[in-house]
Formats: sequence, structure tokens, C-alpha cells
Amino acid sequence: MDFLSFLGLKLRDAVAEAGRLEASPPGHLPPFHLGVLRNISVEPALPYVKWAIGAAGFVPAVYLAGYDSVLPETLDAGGSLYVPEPDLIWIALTLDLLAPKIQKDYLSLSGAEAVAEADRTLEFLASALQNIRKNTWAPVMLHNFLEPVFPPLGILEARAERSQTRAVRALNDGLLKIAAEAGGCHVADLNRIRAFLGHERFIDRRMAALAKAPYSGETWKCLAHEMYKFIAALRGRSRKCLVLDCDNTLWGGIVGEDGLAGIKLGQDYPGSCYLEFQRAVKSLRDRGALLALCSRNNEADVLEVLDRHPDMALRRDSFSAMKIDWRDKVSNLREIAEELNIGLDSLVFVDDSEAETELVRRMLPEVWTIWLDGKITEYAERLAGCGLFDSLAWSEEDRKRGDTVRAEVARKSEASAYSDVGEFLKSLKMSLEIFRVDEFSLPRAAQLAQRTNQFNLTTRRRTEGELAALKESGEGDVLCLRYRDRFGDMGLVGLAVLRYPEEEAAYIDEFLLSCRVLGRRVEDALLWACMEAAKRRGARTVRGDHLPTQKNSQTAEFFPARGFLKTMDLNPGARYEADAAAWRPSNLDCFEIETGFLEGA
Amino acid sequence: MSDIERRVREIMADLFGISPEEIDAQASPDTIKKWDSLNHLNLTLALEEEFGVTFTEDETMEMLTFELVAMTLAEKLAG
Repeated sequence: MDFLSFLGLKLRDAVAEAGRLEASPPGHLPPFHLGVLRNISVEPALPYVKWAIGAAGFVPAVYLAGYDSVLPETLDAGGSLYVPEPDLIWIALTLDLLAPKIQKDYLSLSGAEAVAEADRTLEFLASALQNIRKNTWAPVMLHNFLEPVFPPLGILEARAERSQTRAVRALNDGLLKIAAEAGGCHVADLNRIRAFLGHERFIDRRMAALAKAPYSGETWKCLAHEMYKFIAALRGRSRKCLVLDCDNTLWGGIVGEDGLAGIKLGQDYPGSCYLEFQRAVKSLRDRGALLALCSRNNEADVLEVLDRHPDMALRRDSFSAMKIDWRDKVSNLREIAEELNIGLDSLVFVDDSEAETELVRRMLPEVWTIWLDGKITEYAERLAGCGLFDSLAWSEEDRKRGDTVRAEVARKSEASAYSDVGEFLKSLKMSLEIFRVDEFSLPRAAQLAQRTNQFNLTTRRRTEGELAALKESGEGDVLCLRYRDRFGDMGLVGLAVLRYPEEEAAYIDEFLLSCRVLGRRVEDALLWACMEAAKRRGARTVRGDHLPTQKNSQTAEFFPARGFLKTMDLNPGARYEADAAAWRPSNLDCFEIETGFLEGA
Repeated sequence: MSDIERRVREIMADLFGISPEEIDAQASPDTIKKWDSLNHLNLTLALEEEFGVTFTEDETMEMLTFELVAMTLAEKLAG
């Protein structure tokens, strides 16, 4: 669901759809409990928020707390905010009631009073988040505070030593710190939303007067979209690969007809629009998305542009897959997904042809399709603002993902030259580092937990905060696996979480691997590490569950194939068990394994 | 006029979870269960989206039957 489609939602459709979802929820969709704390009226937002939760694949169940009751609600451990366990808590506050003097009467405050008011406000917010974290690890979405559009000091506001604008900015900085400390929080930037909409479109004076609902429908839609992106990132539903057409998408014109020199791409209009678009594409790649081409052309013509045109922001090695031929795009998209080992619902397809995009939309509804409609000056922004690739971390792994996947293709083609798998694996010269999570690897570890859908035994989707808490409490082990071979360094690609709920027993609570290291027995090394860690804790029995999802069916036989016995049906799924001392790992001699995790606990 | 009335009935049906036939000229928050103060504001916003008009605070507060809604809207569209 991209941003523009979200903005185009009509209230009546959102209300009708939300009503349908609540009245007769589709059986296969899981529930999503949203708790809402607020000191403004947010009721006008609820149809959009419910729609967003539905679009993310869940059935919304909303608890709307009373007006301006943040502290009592967050302190009530048995109250409706926490029972049933929330999936997200939305805190919509403005300074009107929270810090009225700063918001409405700043100039009457002395310097000391302004500081005291700001401190009091930040303390209030910090306690609210601390109270929440005492009771739940649910992710939290908050709002930052709006800078004044008509500053009280007029043209002096920017130069004055202290001002309402500075005070609000300091509050916003403080809020980000508090949110980072609490963990699992997303601060929606209202100033950025207002910058996009403009003040007149952002507010609704009439709703503010009649209902204390200060924002317009468009603003509520932007906020619902923020929530959608947050949920998508937390639940592994962000997209992973952008598939692009070439003619009239990456450049103006048709390369097969206009030739290398005739296509429009460069510093002047209209070529400049396409170059801007390419830069937006490249930026997505640097963020961690994969790029692919799907074009009906002679391959040589397109490659010539990629290799030789002086004004391209994208080159051959920007793309992890290329389907340049005269076949239909539906088949090619399916093959791209297979080659990259990702689901169709991880793809975004962009094409200037209405017919092509309609066909793909119909035949492959899981692919998100964007039709570029000829308004080329808008293309770059449409991509930059689409919100389809959002993630909660950005690390070296993300920046290099395009390159590591290209290396993957190289590995795959080498593999076909070996008839013996074992020989091939040894030839890779794989080197694994298994270590306990630390502050540097924590964001990437959480991102793995949130994004990995296929090789994921229990799909727990822990956040950074939850992993950190588990590690700190000493009640569990969080093991990370880093992979390197002679083609390159893939970084952190495996995660296992062990818990110790009883004496002498260990429980493998999470076990997941990036799909890019499948088929290489890396899972055997990670399992061995789990068993070793469990033994060090004095466990005699190690248990693990397989909880089936739509995407992880390849892991159903993981435990039985490795010497674990089924002890219980979980309906759905099953529990398995092995004796720690008697268990033997598979042959691990194709790896060099560094075992940092064996030191310390 | 009747096309406007039809469209208004359909929007009300979507918002109030009832069928358009159940909305007569005197339908109001007293006769339709889901026509509460929140949904009245939603109605205002949905009509603005559909017809490209803007209602004032007073108009919003005063158009409290189907007939009044349709009339206020028709006047806006004409003038």
C-alpha cells in the first residue's frame, strides 16, 4: 500500500471497510489490538487507522482510552490498555493540555519557568513510557510536537536566545531520546507531515472547534500511513525488491527505436526527470532494497545503456536480477522472485504501461504495482515517498545488500558446476562467526527477526528492546551468526534465542536464517551452537517448537531431520525435544567456525 | 435534486451501516442508531470529499435531518 494510494482513500470507503472487517473478520487474519491514549479527539482517525491495520493483514480491535488520561491508564496493570495484550499503543498528544504555557503563552514565561515547564513535560512523557514498558513490550507510536506557524516573536524568533520554536525543538529532541531509551517506539513527525500538506491542509479549524480534533482528514490519513509502515516493518511485511521497466521509466523514449544517443536522459528536461527518478531508485538500493529489471527489449540494447550511457545513475551492477527479453512480464516477475528467493509479496513493480500494470495487478495481486502515468516531474517523489521499503534499522548489511545478492548469483552459477554438494560447500570456504548479541549487532539482529519469513521456526518478531532485555536479564541467550565465504561477507544472517524456563531444560525460542544462506547447512552450525550454549547452562534437555505460518513450511521437518523427537502436537505445529549430551551435530567440516559465544554468558 | 439525494443516502448508508432505503426525509440522530455526534462529523467530511464543498461550523451543527443535509448541500452546490 503506497503513500499516494493511502492519501486517495475516501472516508466512506474506509468506514465501510473497517465496519466489514469488524463485523465479519476473515478467519485466516490474526487480530491486532491497538490501544489509544490521547489528549485530543482522534475518533475521526479511527476509520483510517482500522483500514491501515486491515491493509497490513490484521483484524483491528481498538481500545480508545478516555480523554487526557495517560497516567492513570498506563499505571493500571490490569486495565484495558494492557488486557488483552496490545499489539501497538498509539499515543496522540499535543502541547495544548500537556504544556499549555509553552504552546499558547510562551512569552509570559521567564527563562527559568520555560525550562521548568519543558522538564516537567519530558518527565511526564518518560514516566508514561516507563509505565508502559513495565507492563508490555508492545511497540508504541507517538507524535512529536508542532513548531509554531506564526511565531510569537515574529521575525525575531529565529535570532532570539530563547523562543517558542526553540523550546518545541528541544522538546522534540528530548522526546526522541526518551523514545530510544524505552525501545520499540516510533515518533511520527508531525512537522514533516505538515510540511508535506501545508498548514491549511493540515488543520481542520471546524473540527478543532466542534470536536477538539485539530487535524484534517488528510493529516489523519498520513498518520494512519505512518502506523501502517511501522506495523509493516515490525511484522516482516515491508517490501524487499523494486522491479523496474526500462523504456519511459528509467529513461525517456524507447531504446530499441531511438538508440543510445536518442533516449532522453541527462541534465535537461525531460531527461532530467528520469535522472532524478534513477537517483531515487539508487537511494532505495543504498537503503537496502534490491533492484531488478523487467523489460521487453533486446538485452544488448539495454545493456548498452547500462554500460555506456554517460548520464545513468544506475549501472549493470546496481541490479540483482535482470529479465530483458520478449516474454510476458508475469512469468518474468515470478522468476525474479524465485531467483532472489523472496515472495511475490516482497516485490514492487514499476512500469509506464497501463496495460502491463493492469495485467500484473490482476495476475499477481501480491505484487504491489505502480503505474507511472506520464507526469514525469512527479516520478522521483512518488518513489521517494512511497513508504513501501521502510525498515527499523539501517546498517552495513543493508547498504551492501545489492552487492551481496549479486555475489549470491555468482555462487549459484558456480554451484551448478559441482556434482557433489559437499565438494561445492567446501569450495566456498565458508567462515561463520557465532557470538552473543551486543549493542552493535542488536539493531540488525532485531531487523532479521522482523523481516525473516521463510526460514523462521517460530516467527516471534522480537524488537530491539525485547532482545536487549532478554540478554540483560540473563534469562536467555541471544546468538548471532555472521557469514563469510570466498565471494564476500554477508554480515549477520542468523539468529537464535534460547530461554531457560526450568531447571536443566533449554528452549529454542527463536531460530531463523536469512534466505540467502539456505542450502548450505548453516542451520546445522547454528543448531550446534544452540546445543553448546544450552549445555553450558546446565541443560540436559533441549526443546524447540515449529509454529507453521504461510511462509515457513520448509522448516516443518527441521527438528525431526536432526535427531529431535516430537513430544507434543501444538495444533498448529509441534514441539520437539533432544537430549543435550546424546545429540550429535551433522557434519560441520565445510565450515570454519569462530565461537565467541562460548566465552562468557 | 434526486441525484444528490441518492448520493447522500448512499454515503449515509456506508457510514451508518444501514441500507439507503431505511433513510427517509426525517431520518436523524434520533431515529438512526449509528448517527451519533462522531458519525455526524464523519458525514460532514464524507460529503465534503464527495461533492467538493466545505460546510461551516454552523451548517455542520444545524443540518441534523436527512432533509436538512440534502437542502444545505443543494444550496451550496447551486450558489
